[in-house]
Amino acid sequence: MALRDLLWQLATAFVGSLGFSILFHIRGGKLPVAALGGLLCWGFYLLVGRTLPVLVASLLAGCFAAAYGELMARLFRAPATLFVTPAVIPLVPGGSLYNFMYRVLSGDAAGAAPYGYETVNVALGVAIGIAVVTSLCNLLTLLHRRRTP
Amino acid sequence: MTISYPELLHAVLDIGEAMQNSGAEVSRVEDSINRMCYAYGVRRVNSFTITSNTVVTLELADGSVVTETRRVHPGTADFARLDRLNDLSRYVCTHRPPVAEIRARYGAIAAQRPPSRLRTYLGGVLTAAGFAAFFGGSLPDALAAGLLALLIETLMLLPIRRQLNPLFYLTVTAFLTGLGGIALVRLGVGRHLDFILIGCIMLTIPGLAITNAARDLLSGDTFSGLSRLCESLLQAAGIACGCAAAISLLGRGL
Repeated sequence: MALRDLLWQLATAFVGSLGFSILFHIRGGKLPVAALGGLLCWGFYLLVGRTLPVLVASLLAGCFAAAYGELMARLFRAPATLFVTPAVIPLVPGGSLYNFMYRVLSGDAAGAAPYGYETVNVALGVAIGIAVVTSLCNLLTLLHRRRTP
Repeated sequence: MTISYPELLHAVLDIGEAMQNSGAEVSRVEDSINRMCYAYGVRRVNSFTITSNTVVTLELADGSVVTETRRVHPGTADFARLDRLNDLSRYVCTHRPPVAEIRARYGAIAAQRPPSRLRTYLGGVLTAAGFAAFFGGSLPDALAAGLLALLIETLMLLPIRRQLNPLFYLTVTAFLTGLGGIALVRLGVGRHLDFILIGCIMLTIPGLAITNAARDLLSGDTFSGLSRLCESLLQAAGIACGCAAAISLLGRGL
């Protein structure tokens, strides 16, 4: 991908995440940080997606988004969802879900298949990635609490 | 100090229901309810939350049982409110305030006004324009998507929406969005109908919901996950139907 396209994608991912963050009523200093998560997460996905299959790349990007969210949650003393959700927004399979359904309704089974495949892979990958990091963070918190009573 | 456990449970469920309405995950809601109830010396908390319902039964130290059920109607995500509810739930766990104080603090959060119309329009326009460009559209396409977003958010804010079937409403919204998109392309605002529509559709398509459905399934909340998955697929089908109807009615423009 040319550098110009890359920058364009990152900038638009930021704008899209910013829009969603505003709709989700994230306010103040958390707003740009939440939107920045979308930019970073998409950049990370593009980086790992060059060599890896969609499922694995989505999983890693989900891990990245959750790690970013957990880190910012601690910095801003807010629930991690506030930062994880905007971060995964550019990744979330909205486009492929729509294209899948559109082709299913048009009776174009062959055209629908790749979009359905992408939707399932991305949704599962992101969900697994987030679950892994969230579980690890919970485990660390538990261990930390046990050591310092 | 004696506590009225039915009143405590009612206050705790107010917080739990509001968290779920603000966009909290099912597991977070259950976890918060459990923690708050255990903080008050309840012997056992049995809570079960799915996307549309919460049931909690407390077994008290003296052996008596208190129960309450809530039907939860989904709201729009409001992370500012979720943030404050989360703080309140932590405060309740650590300070164990009297029930009247929980109610007063919850009342202050519930009285907070929802995001203003201006915010909703601004967020909608940025999202639609951003994603129209993100998926490959040019600047005029992004502008057209932003204009259409004003239409979508207006429809989403109409009070009549609550009285109509949500799936039907989404389909009609998508149909009108499709008509608007074709009209804008014919007028020369924006050139690529597909990019304009996909940007707008990001506002209503349950892409995030389908990812959250997978998260629920993975964390063992099978019922919530399955119901969210069904809902997402139906909504996506409705939106695709609406757009397809508009395109087959007017053609792709140009």
